[in-house]
Amino acid sequence: MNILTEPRSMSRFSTGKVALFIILASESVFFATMLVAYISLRNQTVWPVQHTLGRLTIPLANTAILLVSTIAAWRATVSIREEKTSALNGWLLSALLLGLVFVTGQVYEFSHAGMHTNDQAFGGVFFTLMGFHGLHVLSGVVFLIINLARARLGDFSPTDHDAIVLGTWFWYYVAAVWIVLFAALYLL
Amino acid sequence: MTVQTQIISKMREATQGGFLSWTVTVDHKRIGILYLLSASLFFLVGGFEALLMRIQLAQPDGKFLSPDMYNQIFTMHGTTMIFLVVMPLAAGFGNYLIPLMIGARDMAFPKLNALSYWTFLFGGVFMYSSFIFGGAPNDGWFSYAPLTEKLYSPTHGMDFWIMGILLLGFATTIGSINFIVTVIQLRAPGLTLTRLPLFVWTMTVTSFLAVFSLPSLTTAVLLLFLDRQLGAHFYNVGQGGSALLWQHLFWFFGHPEVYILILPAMGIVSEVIPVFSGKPLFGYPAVVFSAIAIGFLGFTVWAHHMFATGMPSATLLFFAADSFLIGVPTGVKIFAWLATMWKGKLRFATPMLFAVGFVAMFLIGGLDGIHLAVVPVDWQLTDTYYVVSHLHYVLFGGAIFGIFSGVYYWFPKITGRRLQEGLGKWHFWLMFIGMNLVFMPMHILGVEGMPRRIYTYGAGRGWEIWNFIETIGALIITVSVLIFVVNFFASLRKEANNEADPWDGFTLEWKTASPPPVYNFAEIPSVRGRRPLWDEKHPDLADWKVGK
Amino acid sequence: MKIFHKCALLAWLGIVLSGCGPSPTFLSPASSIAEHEAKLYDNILIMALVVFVLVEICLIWILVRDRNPKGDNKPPKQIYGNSKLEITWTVIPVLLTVVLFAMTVQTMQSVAAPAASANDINLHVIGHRWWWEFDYTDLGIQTANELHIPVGATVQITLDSVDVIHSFWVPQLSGKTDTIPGQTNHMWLTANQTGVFIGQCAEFCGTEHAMMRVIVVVDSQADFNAWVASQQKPAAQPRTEDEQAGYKLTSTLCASCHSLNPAETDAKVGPNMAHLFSRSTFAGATYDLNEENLRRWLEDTQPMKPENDMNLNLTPEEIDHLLAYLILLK
Repeated sequence: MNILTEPRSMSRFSTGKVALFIILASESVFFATMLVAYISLRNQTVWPVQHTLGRLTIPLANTAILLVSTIAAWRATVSIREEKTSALNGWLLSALLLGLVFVTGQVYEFSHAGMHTNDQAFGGVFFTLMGFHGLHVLSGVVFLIINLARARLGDFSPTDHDAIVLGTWFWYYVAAVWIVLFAALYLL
Repeated sequence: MTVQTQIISKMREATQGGFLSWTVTVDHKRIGILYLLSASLFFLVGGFEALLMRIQLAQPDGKFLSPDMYNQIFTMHGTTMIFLVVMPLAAGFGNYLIPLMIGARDMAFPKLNALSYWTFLFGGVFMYSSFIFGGAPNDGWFSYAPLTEKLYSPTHGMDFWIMGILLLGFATTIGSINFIVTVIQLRAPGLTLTRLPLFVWTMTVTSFLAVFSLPSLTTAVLLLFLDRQLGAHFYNVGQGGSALLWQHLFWFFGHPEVYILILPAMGIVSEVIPVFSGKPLFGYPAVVFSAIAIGFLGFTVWAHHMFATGMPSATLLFFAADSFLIGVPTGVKIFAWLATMWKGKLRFATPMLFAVGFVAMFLIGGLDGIHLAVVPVDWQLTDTYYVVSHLHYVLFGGAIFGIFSGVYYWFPKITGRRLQEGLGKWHFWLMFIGMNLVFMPMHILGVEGMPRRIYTYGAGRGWEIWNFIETIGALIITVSVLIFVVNFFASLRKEANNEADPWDGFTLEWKTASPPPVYNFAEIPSVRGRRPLWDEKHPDLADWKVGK
Repeated sequence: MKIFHKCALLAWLGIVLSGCGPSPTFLSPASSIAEHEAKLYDNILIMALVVFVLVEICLIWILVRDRNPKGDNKPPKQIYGNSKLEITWTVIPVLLTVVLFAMTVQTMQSVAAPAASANDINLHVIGHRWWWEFDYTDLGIQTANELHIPVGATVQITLDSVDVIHSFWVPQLSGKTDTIPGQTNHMWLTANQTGVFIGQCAEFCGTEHAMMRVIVVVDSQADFNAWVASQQKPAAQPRTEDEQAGYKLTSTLCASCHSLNPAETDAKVGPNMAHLFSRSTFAGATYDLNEENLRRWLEDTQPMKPENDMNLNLTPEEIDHLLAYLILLK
């Protein structure tokens, strides 16, 4: 028997949604404590940050890429609800490809940043924060790949596509964290 | 049959029953047992470490352990008892009981559950392997920077600690998510949140504490790892880092952590006392709210571990005020337990002895905490044996006693037979006496100026007599633990009588067989109140009839 | 067993409140700070004991009165709660926390640092692994592990560390304050009686944390002045041949870590030795300073304080020479 079809008093959210909500809350505390480390270290020492626009090109481009990819993720959710399976596949593919472009851009930026983890504390903070964000983007990409594979195998229907919704929410989260990090590390 | 089919069918056979089936199980009851057994083994190891320390400290200028060995042992003792004993024991009970208590067939994510257990076990073994790979971590369980930087801690001990903590943190986080989702999603019909057993409530609050506090620890140790291995400078003062950053990050986790350690035991005691008094828990809503309040307030008091670090007065006073405040919900619980017993019909089986012992000992630990929250007094008492006394009264007299109460209470459900009462009573009284002999004099030592974490002390400051008495107490505790081990194995060798409800209990786990079938309940029960079994056994006095 | 418990507590109270014995306890205060802290401790202890006794008596009474081991099977009256009672036992503890907070604020004000004045002794405490450096910059003195202060004088202390976090603590004179690398902390104290007061590092700082003690000698003003004068003198000069040989070793070998200049301002790995034999202890104030112990130390420091940084390979002859000179450093 299916554990999920027996009588029980559950919440009105799907099990996956509840789990994802808690995971994202936990991850937020993680990023928040990292940011606290950053802010406290920033107060201690001279921060070797240059705010030239040239330095901001790649991060700005990456921000645009990530924001566009969230639109793709959103469209994917809409597509499956309207049973447009080929559109679903297309949007999922777009989102994950844009995600990969983002990560590539990040890696390029890191290797040309002219600083290292063992420089003054800022180097460590920068790479740690951005690095963990990048890992989350990659996890999101993996999530999207799995969703795409399952979509192609016909696993989803307009009424049963929890994983697509969860994947999209995770993608929104990754973008939201990026906005905060971008502001903290590049603009402030 | 092809070779592959043969292999697969052989594997299936092998994992159907017997030893190997335990390695692939996703059944919450088996995973619960695995947690309980593993944590019990670590308890013996951690206890042995404590005994070694007490032997070293029994006399001044002790030469039993070298300074470095002592430092490794006190570090591993603390780390073990916290991460490898109390937390997984709670996880074990949570795993076994939560689905049963809420009338479900398993946890929400059974495979994740198994991953969580095996990650915990691997993390613990990994940490202990440090002993043979150049030395165990030796900077204390809260590992202050910059002592933990490579410059001052060159062996790999700290790296083992960091990796172990990351693994254990991961295991606890996914385990906690599993608990929370299970409680939200899989309750039996009629089982609203206001009817949840107290143990389920406290495990849920504990799980929320875990998922919100562990990330801070993860950050702290990740940054330390980067400092040690990649030359970063988070805690390296000379290069723009901050020594206090570690303390804030760590204690932001560390304080909720101590509530993670005590809340499950409070939940157990809140189950045992009503059953052995024959009455419902007094003031259920207040007890639930106080658990939530403790959880919430627990995030606001962390810097009371840092009163001697030179923070401004306003900061000190804020954290002092909050620390006083957190005593209020704790007091509410103690009064509720007393009121539950009031005019009840008390049965003093071993589970009840440990539950009452919990109340008595936890009270002492809590009152100690008040002393420590008073900032100017804390300036004298912090980092002394007074703190060691306080923490052991709440963690040993509290958490461990509570857990033993649960062990004696639920042993019949898990194994189909009770632990022997006679040996149980010996265990309780010897452990109670031993525990007080060890930790009561530590109040005196703290007040008399003995700092903590010293591998020896010189004669002539009045500390010798108390240290000696404490070592005697440790030996008595050792005997009590051995009695429990004997009881455990002797009881298992007896024939099972498979009583479903040996204690005349109130909650759903007693409705099914002992041990329960793999599917828990033939039919998912529906409930109308907080004590479904009480309602069944006493239809005229049913809670829902009285409007509760 | 509860009776045993109470007797133990009474015994403890008796010992602790009498403040007897040679223990470095703030309950035998030698300063106004420690007095305030001790008073507050005692008041809270009384409050705690009252709560403890009341609750435990209640518990014992319930356990005795309501025990029903074999049990008649009739269930007792099912009581679910009592709003009035629950509100009372929530509100009263909240009021108690307000009282505690007020007591805390009051004592913190009583022990707050006085404004700096010209008569203050300014002391700079620097934590090392595993010894204490004391710099009296105004007086041009540097010493280690044992410090002198005049009775009644306000001592303003700045605290630093060259390596890890330590904690400076002499219970009878003041609560503890951490020495944190990269951060300068402040504390103060005024001793109100003469005597010798001991303390110990109170923040785990590595292998020899246990062997990092401190001795504070509170002198009369006259004695303090005399101490200052003798500490300001340069290190003794050798006279005999033995002493000359010892002096040569000291100023070449020892000087790489230890200074012989009583007004040293450079950072040094080891304690200042200019007036070594004016102190009563050494090795982090853990061993009595006499020839026998010092000889053992020079032969091999490791058995006496494992993992300390001092590793020499001296011949017995060299040790004799060294000792001949070192005992001159009063």
